[in-house]
Parts: sequence; C-alpha cells; structure tokens
Amino acid sequence: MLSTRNSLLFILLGIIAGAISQLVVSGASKPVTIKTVVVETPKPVIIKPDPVDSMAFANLSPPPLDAPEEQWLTFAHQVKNTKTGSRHDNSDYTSPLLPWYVYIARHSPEAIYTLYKERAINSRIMGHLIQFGLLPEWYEEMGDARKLLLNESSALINLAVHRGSDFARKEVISLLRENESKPISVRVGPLLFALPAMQAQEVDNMLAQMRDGSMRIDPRSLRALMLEPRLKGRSSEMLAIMRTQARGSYSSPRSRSMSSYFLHGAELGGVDYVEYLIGDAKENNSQPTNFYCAACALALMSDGIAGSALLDALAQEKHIAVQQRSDTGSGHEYLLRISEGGVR
Amino acid sequence: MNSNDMHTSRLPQILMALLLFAVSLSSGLFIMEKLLQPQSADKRLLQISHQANRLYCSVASDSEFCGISSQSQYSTGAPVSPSPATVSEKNHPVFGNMHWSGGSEAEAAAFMARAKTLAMLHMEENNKYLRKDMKELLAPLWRDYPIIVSASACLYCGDITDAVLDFIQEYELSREWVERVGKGISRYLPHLANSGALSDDELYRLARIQAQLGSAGDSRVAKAIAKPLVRNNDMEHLAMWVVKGLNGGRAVTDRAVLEQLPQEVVILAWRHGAMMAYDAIELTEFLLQSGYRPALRWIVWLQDGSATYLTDKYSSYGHNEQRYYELLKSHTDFPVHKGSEVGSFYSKNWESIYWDKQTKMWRH
Repeated sequence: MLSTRNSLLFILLGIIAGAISQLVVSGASKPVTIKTVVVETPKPVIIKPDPVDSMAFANLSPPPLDAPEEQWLTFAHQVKNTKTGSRHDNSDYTSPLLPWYVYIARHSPEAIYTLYKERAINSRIMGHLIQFGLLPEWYEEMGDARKLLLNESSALINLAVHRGSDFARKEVISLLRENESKPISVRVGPLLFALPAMQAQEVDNMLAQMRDGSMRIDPRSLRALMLEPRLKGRSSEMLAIMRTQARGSYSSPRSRSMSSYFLHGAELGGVDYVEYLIGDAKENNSQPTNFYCAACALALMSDGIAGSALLDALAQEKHIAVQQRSDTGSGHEYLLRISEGGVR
Repeated sequence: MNSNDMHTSRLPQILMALLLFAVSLSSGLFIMEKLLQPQSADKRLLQISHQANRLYCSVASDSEFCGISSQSQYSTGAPVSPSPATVSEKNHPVFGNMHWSGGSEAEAAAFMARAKTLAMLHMEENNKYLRKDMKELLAPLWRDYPIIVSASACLYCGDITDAVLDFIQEYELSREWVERVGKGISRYLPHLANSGALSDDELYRLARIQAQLGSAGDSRVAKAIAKPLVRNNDMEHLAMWVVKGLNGGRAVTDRAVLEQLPQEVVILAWRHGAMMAYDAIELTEFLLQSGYRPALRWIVWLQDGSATYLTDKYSSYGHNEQRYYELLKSHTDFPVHKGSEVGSFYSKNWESIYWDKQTKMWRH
C-alpha cells in the first residue's frame, strides 16, 4: 500500500496539477482574470459596509392608527434614530426611510411638527411633506415655525396653490414685518414673490436689512433680485448688498465652488469681479460645474481681446487693462486690452 | 519476483495513487476556480441585497411581501418559502422576489422603504437606475396607495419619480391625488397637462405660481410651464421663468415663438444658459442672426477652444460642435472658423467687426 509520505506527495501533486490546468484553461478563456490574479498584485476586494442598520430598519413597526400621540412621537423618533448610513441623512428627504415619514405625516402630523421643532428633521423634508399635500393644516398648526415659508419655496408653492397667491403674498410680507428687527435668513424666491405687493417703504427696509447684514441671503441668488423690474436702476445698491452678503464660505480664496455670484457682481458693475474672472479664465479655478464659468461671463460682458489671445497674454504675464464701457441695459460691459509695458 | 509480479503486486497502490491524484486534481481545480473568480459588483450587490432582505424578513416574516427565495446562489440556508409571483418570473437581482399583493398602508410604507433602500444600494454599487424594474415593482402599489408612492421619492433623485411620471400617464388619476399632490409639483405638470386632468385656466394659474417660485429642473418642465404663459401672452411671468434652474433658458426654443417674444426676454433666457455654458443653441442662432454682439463673442470663445471647460461634454457645445462651427461660418465673413486662430482674429479685428443689416452677416 502507499506510504503516508507517498500519499501526501500524490495529493500535493494532484492539487498543483489541478491548479496549473485550471490556470491554463482559464488563461484561454478569461485572460483578464489571470492577469489580475497572477501578473498584477491583486487589489483587495472592498466590501462596502452595509449602509443601513438592517435590523433596526426591519424592526420599525408603527403604532395602530388610533394610538395616542405619544406613541406616534415615539415611533417618529425611532424612525429618525435608525441608521441609514453616512450617505443618506435620515433627517433629509433623501433618506430611504422617507416613506415612513410620509406615513407618519398622514396619520400624526403633530409628531412631524414636533420632530421639526426639535430640529430632528430639516426644513427640506418638511418642505417635501408639505409640497406633497401631506400636511394640509401645516400653516395654522406650526406656530412660529411657519417661518419656514421664508426658506422653503416648496412650502410657499403649496400655500399659493391651495390658498391662492394673494393670501401667500400677504403671509410672506407679514412674516417679514414680524422679523424686521431680528436677524433672519431668507431665500430670494419668497422675497421676489412678495415684492409686487410690498409698499415702497417695505422694499427699502428689506434692502436696508440686506445691506447691513441683518437679513441673510445667498449672494448667488441676488441676480434674481437684480432682474426684478422694481429694483432696476439700483445696481450700486445691489452691489453693496452683494459685498455684505458674500462672506464666509462664499468668499473662500481656495475655491470658486460658491462663487458664481462673481459673474453677477461683474454684471452689476464691479470691476474687481471682472479681474477675478480674468484670473480664472484659463482653468476656471478647476470648477467644472456648480455654475461658475469665468470665460462665459467674459464672453458675454467684455469686448476686445478674447479667447486664446487673452489666455496667451495671461500666460505671458502681460497686464490686462479693464475699462468699464457701458451699461447695456442687461448688465455692464467692459473692454479688455493688453496694456503695453505693464506686467500683472 | 519477476517484473510482471512486481507490477501485479503494485497495481492496488498505483490505482490508489491515481484515485488520490484524481481527487486532488479536482480539489485543485475547484480551489483555483474560486480564487480566480472575481466577485463582481453585481454579485456583491446580490449578496448585500439578499442579506438586507433576509434581515428584514426574519423580523417582518408575517409580511406578505417577504418571500426571499433560498434558490439564490448566495442563500445561506434561510427557510425555503414558496415563491410568490415576482417582479419578473425569476428572482430579481436587486429586489429578490418582493411583490405587492395588497395590504395595509403601513405595509405599503414598509414596502416602499425597502424598495428604496435596495435601489439605493444598487445605485451606489453600479451607478445605475432601475427605472423599468422599479416601475414593474411599484405598479401594483401605485394602484392602492398613489400618495405613498409619489411622496416617497425626492423629485430629482431618479428611478421612483421616473416610475411615477409613467404612472401619471398610464393610470387614471384620482381627484384627491391631482388636487393634493399633482397640482403643487412642477415636475408632474407636463404629464398632468397631457392627461387632461387640469383645465387651461388652472394650468395657467399654476404656471404663474411656478414661474415665480419654482425651478426648471429639466427642459420638459421648462417648456410645459412656458407654454400657457406664452399662450396668454404673459411676458412678465415668462421673463421670471426663463431665468429659473438649469433649464430655464430652454423654456422656449421654437423659432416661430421666439419671433413673437420681446427680444429682452429672449436675451434673458439666452444669457441665463450661456452664463453656465449651457445655452440653447436655437437662441444663440436667433440672437446671432439678430445682430446681438454677445452671441457672436460667445461663439468666438467656443470655436477658439482655448478654455476647454467651455467645450467639454457637459456643455451645450459638447452636443452641438458642428452646428456652432456652421453658425460662425455662415453668419460671418471671418477667414477662420475653428481653433485658436478664431480668438486671435477677433482680438485683432474686434473694432472693425460690425453687423451688416442688409446681408445679415457679421463683417470686418
């Protein structure tokens, strides 16, 4: 009979032969696979962690429809506290648990209002639930939190669609009045919407609040105000507002990701913004999207040297002279010339 | 012992050795196959989604839509349950054999949450939406709970909303859904307009609200909102709308309509798009032929090509390269039409370049 040593030897030989023949066969039909395993250092297979706390997710069990409010609130907290992974904020409408928020909103709006007042869910998800008609009484029920109207256009659309535009406008104006002496953050949409019904003094007050910074607004959205017929001819005032509002992350020197307002600053007559645009013209400061486009603004607003002639001059560190030429009615226009003898 | 004897006496040993060799050979083949087989993203996804299904259904086992099959190659021996009607006849790689065959509203919410989670996992793994499959999965649920289905999707997040847009066109809509949900959502309005669920007056009222407060997230919505505004000659609201969202500038592109609009509205729309390198080429052409100089400069920058981010695949140019070339060629007397020479030519001659009204050409 075979000795143990010989048996082991045969087993080893068998395994090696099997492996070699598998490699040969695989090599014929799956060259990429062999290359990955044999030739190159195999990359570790990264199994992504399960982004959802599946057990907690599966354990969600709503109370009966006639359960007291406390039980609904407990369930709402349970939904909120379920881990949905780092890529899907469970306080936002991108949460995979949005259907449960929808369900709660239909049967216990109070639980949703409480979550919002506790800041457990954000205004975007509130706007979403309102927009989809799930909280028909929200405006009466939310008390002070109805200020949401100034920040969520979806909520304002809901009010305008179901109660009429005149009612919605009056409410925006009323909320602005209530908050006139307080620092407040608003979106431009509700302001524009209310503007036709505002008195001249109210418009002036609003602009003054923006200018002194007590009313915060995204500087990138100011263009919509610039285009409003009632505010035309107030370019210098709008430019001053832009400079006040463009602070913090909007003015980061490292990135233009929040800086599309530069384009509008140039439209309003800010020569310094044109100079930023010229500096960014070649590479757009590495911002391919996010609506910052230096060359776009230069093409639309400036005449004189253009395209490769401008970029070559910049590469040679020639000085570019910027001359404000005219206000065309749809914004200021500039003349760009290579300044003889000067170096940037 | 002669050699024959020796061979005869060793025959069992040789047979045993061959047997061992054969067994080992197949083991080797098996081991190497497992080592060589890459774990594809699809298969990993299948594992993850089946794991999620199993975990969910181990708790919610009484739910009618829990029937994950153990026939899957990744099954770890979960109890076999009879396979009910499935998304398709065989096990779906993402949804397992989830199906909706009726139930309470709470079960509908749980079903949606599960479908969303699995679709998200699929999206993260494969960067692909599941529009068709999602539609098939959700159609029975839509018939029972359209509000739960529509409100469970964020409007610009992909496959569920895509399915809802199809349902709006394919199923009869309840009055409650149209009133409570449909009217307030710009993305649904083009489909509602086609379905006849809204009167012209109501559509116009809603379009005015959207023009002031909404956003043209896609060009179909942009056009659908613009239509009643144009029909009612409401230039004030149209001017508000064409500067909204990524696609506001594409709200009106039909030449016959453009010719009826005040030029300042066309310019507003065009500038809105061009400022993001996303101009509607119909508007660029229209303004170029109207003697509007910024439109000429815009094409010069595009054709010059030195600022490469203007002409990448995300820009309008990326889709219409040849048309921009032809625009410059047919509407100018420039000697060059493409490349850095265009920018150089314009930069040297800009002062003498003018719009010739007679010939409708840019000349130098």
